[in-house]
Amino acid sequence: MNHQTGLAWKWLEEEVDAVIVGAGATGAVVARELGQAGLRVVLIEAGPYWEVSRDFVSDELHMRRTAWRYKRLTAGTNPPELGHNTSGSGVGGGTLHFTAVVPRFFPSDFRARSTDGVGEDWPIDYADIEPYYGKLEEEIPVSGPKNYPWGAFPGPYPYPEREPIAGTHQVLRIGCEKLGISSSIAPLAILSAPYRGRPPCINRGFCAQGCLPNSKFSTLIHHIPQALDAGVELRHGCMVNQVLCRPDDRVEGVTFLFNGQEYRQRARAVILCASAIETPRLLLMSVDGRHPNGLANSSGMVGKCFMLHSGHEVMARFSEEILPYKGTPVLALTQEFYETPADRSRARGFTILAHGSRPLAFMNIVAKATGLWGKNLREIGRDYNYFARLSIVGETLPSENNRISLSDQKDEVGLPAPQVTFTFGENDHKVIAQGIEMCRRILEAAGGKVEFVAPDTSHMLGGCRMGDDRQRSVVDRWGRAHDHPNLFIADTSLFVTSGASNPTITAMALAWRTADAIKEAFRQGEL
Amino acid sequence: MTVKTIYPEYDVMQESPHWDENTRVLVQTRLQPPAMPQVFTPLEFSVLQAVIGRLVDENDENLIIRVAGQLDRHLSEKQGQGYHPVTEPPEEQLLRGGLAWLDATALQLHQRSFLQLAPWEMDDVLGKAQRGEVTWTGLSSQDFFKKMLRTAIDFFYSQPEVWSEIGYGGPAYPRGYYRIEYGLKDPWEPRLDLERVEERAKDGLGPGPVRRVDR
Repeated sequence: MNHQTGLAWKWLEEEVDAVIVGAGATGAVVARELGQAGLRVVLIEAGPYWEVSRDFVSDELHMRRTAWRYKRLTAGTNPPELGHNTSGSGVGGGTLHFTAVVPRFFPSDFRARSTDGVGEDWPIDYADIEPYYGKLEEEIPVSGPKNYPWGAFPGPYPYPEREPIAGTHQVLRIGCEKLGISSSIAPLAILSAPYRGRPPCINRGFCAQGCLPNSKFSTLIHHIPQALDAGVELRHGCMVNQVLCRPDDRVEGVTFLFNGQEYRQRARAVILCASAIETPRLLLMSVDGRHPNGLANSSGMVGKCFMLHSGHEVMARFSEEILPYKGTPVLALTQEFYETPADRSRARGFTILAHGSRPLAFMNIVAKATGLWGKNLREIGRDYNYFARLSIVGETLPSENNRISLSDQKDEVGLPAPQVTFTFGENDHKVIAQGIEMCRRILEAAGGKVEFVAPDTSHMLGGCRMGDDRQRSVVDRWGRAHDHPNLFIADTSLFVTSGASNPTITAMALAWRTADAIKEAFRQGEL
Repeated sequence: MTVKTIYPEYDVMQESPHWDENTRVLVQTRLQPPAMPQVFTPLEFSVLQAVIGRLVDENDENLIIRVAGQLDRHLSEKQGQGYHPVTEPPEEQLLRGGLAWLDATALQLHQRSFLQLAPWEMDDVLGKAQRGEVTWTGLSSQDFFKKMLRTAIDFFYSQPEVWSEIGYGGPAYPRGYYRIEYGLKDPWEPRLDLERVEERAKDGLGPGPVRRVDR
């Protein structure tokens, strides 16, 4: 208890070692690492502190409350749907409702400019984060195949692959086999056997609606308890509204809003883990006399090169029941089309996931794909159990026109609402078209008839990218802001390219690496 | 006679004793009649019910009033998705504004209010809104239609009797699903009525006659 404010925040009046903004996939990892290193850490989260057994239910509609709900505006030719699918809120963030598909990035993802002539090269290589992938896969732990056919990691994964797989996923594997395409059980942060009091998955199917049995990893149930044990102070329901900067360009802490009051927390280092929308937004909001365009923004790159994966959905009707509600939503995939093909008909590529569907997801895809309503829509609903769905995770190339900016509208707590402007580029459309076509071929080879194709997006990336050139990037290869020696970014906003893999484990690996760099800087007395 | 469901024996609520308590309470609460609307005016609420009924092809008034009531409550709790295209007004304004314009369009085209229209006339007005063939100020009829349809789907397909109709196995915590591969079912899952499947096929609906495919 803090004696001056009456609030349960013991370090409010002091300068702590580190303030971390955002308790999601990456912030929780950084908090655990810095806390266990003996640093005094305050972790600030805008959303609630969920408790699994109290707050989670088996209901699609109700569980949308784990999405970010403050006002956001979308614009561009392809204004994205930003709901439950992309943005988490509360302790655990997006890991509460991600499908837990955790393939690694390919080495070529870090060299798109050099190898494919598109996008940008990262300032780091696959080898720089490889050890972190391994450590994460061990501790989460990841279930997956003994032999993984693609990328630089051949397996085996620490836990056995999930089996059996459900009808939806058998469709993908059967179709691929008939076409001579490799497919695999997905690497998943979902247990295939017990681990530290957590039971194996029971195929309830609600991974994207918060896992009730705790079979699915989330930072809420894994890294956060470890961080708290290490003495990290967690403040939930607190919205950080400004990063404060001193005349010598070192940041001195943050201000945040709690119940309509503004408080200040001083810190020797500030680490932003607030997402690819909220991190750039916070930097753009942090204006002062010397930084009229926001902090860390001498390059003008804050908010630019925001990326989403294309996530188009392809659904086919089968002549027998698929029962798409059963099983972990994603259990099988192919990454056979991940990189630039020999004929160079597109640059970079896509992953195909077999994707189960609960009723709301299914009916929304049908409505989006067809515009059908009334009797026609109702009749398709009656055939719900006969449909299998594949979806793509398509690479999107970075473009400065896709960006996060501040709108002139205010959100519910009176801060400038962020605007997300997004338009697919020419190559993105080629990736999407080829991805959809391959989904169609796989579904048809498995005996289905493709009836619905709907556009979608997933995964928010970029907006504060890393780089060696301070004119073209926001942070260096360690996630440290070029402009401020004690300001770090450790979330997906520092992605340079999007890859075509679900990005969570890559984001966590990068965050862990940055946490190591911060620890080292403290040891050297730099921070 | 149209086949309403190919799972005539199945009632998902019979499985509710096997669900965790929070889920059971939540879904049972969803079956209760709604409270007085907080956001929609009485007229808007009536038009809303008529619109939802047409969009999801359902005549059961008790079912539709629950769906409409839950939508009203959702808006009153301000727990929306939180985002909208810069070209559209926020959720509440878009839905309420669109309902008022639907009524105005009905008066203009048919000289009667929306609620006085025959079902096929309602569909005509809704179809014109969907295709952008009406001129509304302040919002696009197409944006309204899309939002209204997606919202109606969200609340309608969250009703347990609709889960039963489509054969959705429903909540499965703590018991889980175990027989998940092709052709397998856990004992409590919905059972197909093959005669009804055949009957639908005669109407040109459904997957056609059930057959095994060579895999």
